[in-house]
Amino acid sequence: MDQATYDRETAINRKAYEQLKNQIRTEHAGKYVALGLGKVLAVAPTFDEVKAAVDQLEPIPEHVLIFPAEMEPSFELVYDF
Amino acid sequence: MPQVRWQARSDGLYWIDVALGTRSFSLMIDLGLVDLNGRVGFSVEPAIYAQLKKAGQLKDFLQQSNRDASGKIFSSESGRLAAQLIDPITFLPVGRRSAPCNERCDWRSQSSGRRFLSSFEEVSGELGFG
Repeated sequence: MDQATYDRETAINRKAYEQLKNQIRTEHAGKYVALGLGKVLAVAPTFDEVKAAVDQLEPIPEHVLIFPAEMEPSFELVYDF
Repeated sequence: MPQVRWQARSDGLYWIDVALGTRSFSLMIDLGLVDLNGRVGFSVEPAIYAQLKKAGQLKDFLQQSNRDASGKIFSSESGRLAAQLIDPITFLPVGRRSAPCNERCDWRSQSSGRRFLSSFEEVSGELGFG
């Protein structure tokens, strides 16, 4: 993924999360949530189940955040040098 | 707070001894992984993550985005874990031991096979490099 795509997708997902945050926390508490393309893509009891569900999507979104419903997703880019 | 020191390597890499969950590891601190929350990154072997995950010691997994030195952006996985420094001389734990779900240890798996673990700074006690 290039920087421009990352910036664009992150902005969409950040905006979507702000709108969906309360709904995610109340409706999916105790579960993992995948957020991408500006919407909730999958919900499942475990991280691996959500990731597997995302991997089944066609095409797989380039920027997907997976997180426990009661936690904040990590929008910040982590630098690995 | 106890103070322990490790010898910096000539290649510029910093390795420290850390207990992760119930096991001890020598882990490389990746300064590039220090984030706004004070989390410190460690480079660990890919098998370690699989072992910790399989043993059920990682919690609160996240998928997020990382960028490497080439500028490539990729997705990575992380999880929470208790961690504590290990004195390299006595091999005994030093400093506070993080609560399993109060400190972060981020495990990042990459397609290159290089993997990372990071931990909240409060896990570390006093770090020193000679």
